[in-house]
Amino acid sequence: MTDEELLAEYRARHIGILQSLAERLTSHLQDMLKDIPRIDRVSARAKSPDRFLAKANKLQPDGGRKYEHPFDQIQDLVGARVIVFYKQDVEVVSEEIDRYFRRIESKELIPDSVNEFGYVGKHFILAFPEDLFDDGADRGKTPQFFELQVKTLFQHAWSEAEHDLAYKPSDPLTPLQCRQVAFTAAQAWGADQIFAQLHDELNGTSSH
Amino acid sequence: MPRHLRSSHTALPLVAVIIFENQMQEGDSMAVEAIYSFLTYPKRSHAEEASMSGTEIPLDDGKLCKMLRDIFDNAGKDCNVPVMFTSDGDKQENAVRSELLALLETPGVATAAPLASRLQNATSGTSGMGLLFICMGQGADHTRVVISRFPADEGVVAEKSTSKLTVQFVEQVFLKSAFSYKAATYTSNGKPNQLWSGHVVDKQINHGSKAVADYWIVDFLRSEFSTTAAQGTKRLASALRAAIAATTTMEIKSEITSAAHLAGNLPKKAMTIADFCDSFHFSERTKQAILSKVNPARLVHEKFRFDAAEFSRHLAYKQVELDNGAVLTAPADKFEECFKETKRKDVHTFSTTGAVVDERLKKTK
Repeated sequence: MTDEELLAEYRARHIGILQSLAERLTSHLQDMLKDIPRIDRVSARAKSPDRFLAKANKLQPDGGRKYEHPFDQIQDLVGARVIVFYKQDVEVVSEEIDRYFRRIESKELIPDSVNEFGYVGKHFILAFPEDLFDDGADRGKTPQFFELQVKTLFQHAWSEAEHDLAYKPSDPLTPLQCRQVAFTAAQAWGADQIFAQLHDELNGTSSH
Repeated sequence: MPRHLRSSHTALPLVAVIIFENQMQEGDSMAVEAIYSFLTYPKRSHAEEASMSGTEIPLDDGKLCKMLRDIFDNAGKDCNVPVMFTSDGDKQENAVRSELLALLETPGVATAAPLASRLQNATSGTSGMGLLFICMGQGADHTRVVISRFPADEGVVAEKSTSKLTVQFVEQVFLKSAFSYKAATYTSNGKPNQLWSGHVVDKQINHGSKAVADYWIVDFLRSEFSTTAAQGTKRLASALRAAIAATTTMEIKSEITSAAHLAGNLPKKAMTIADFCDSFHFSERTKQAILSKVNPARLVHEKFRFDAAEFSRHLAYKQVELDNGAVLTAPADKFEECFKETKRKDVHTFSTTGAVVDERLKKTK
């Protein structure tokens, strides 16, 4: 499949399937989590055609394509986010997600070294619930899985700004800029730590 | 009619895996390319790493192949419970799925043996000896695997020759028993990241013993129902609530409300929404009122494990009894809406306004 054919096929699925699927998923998640306090927002989106093509064309170190079957291998064609106030709330939401969805992956994304600061978030790869598919849906073209990220407000804010500023492949960051980005991550991490502590102390969630 | 397979008296441990190739939708016919079989013993208590000896069954027009072809052809209809492989942690891995993928990659007794060994190590004395078959078939762009297990039993063989009747007791008779027959079917499209879900039939998933109920799906296949307990139970409770809200018929409201009160005592057993309606013997009108609220409609027959706590979260009735004998009842999430409450010291005053739609005498609260 050429890039043009891949893009055309994705655009057709994006308009015909994925956008409405993301909307249904948003409603489904909002209904599922409506009784949980301190959730700032719940949203889902279909990956844009441009971002899909960019990801589909990613290469491996040996120069080969990373995704031979991008429609089957890219698992965030639909991505959802749940943004919560405090670190404790990430666990509460994650437990609820585990009760309602079948997952094939769950991971905590944290920097490789304890001396580094960077992206933090909890990611799941989950099976779409059957409730979202009409009886006549073309299941051959609908993804089986979606990605769900659960993050605090500070983790989310940092990752959004970092994504906007730091992903400039044609213009790599200078060492100072790298340190500045890491510094902001440390600030966000510190804010989450303190808010978690204050939440325990002031809202009485501490086990002590 | 149960069908019987009888093992050879002198056979060494035998396990069977059958491989057919073709995509098999319901009603499709496809050519059988290979059949493997293994005899499995109950080894859960003392799992062994010993290699399994199995055999490839020659494909012919004999009764055995015909029976297995029937199972394969009907698997799409018989295996009607969707299941998913479970995966923990940050790697998308499930041991059974990996073994299935290896079998699909290189069909053979050697690649089928790990599944047989896994079944043997998951089998307790309660389930006993069994005969395992694995069948695969390939179509234009799909491959189907059907795994089935026949439990062992005892029986009598009677053979009549021209001069006499011979009656013999046999121990290793394998039954496609309607009460303990188990099968699983998976369809592979050959692409990466697939084969996470399949369909099973297990006549014992409602068995009272957890060990028996979990044996095929959880212990052997390392899978779970595609619908989680919370998700399925919430779907049921939502349908019941919607049915109550949509009707003005007291009979329907009353039947559902009564069932909702009793459902809190149900065990965590596998059921469908249709099963729930049948277990409470709803009238046909009530049943249809509930089923019509399940969207999409096919989910009426989706299996899940009932979760009483989850059910109460979505369909609870709050009841307050006062020391003057009054009993106030309303849906838990609407209680404050239905009853205005004022309090002076320990004395509560509740007030409500509405048209009377039903009035009755009951012997109990």
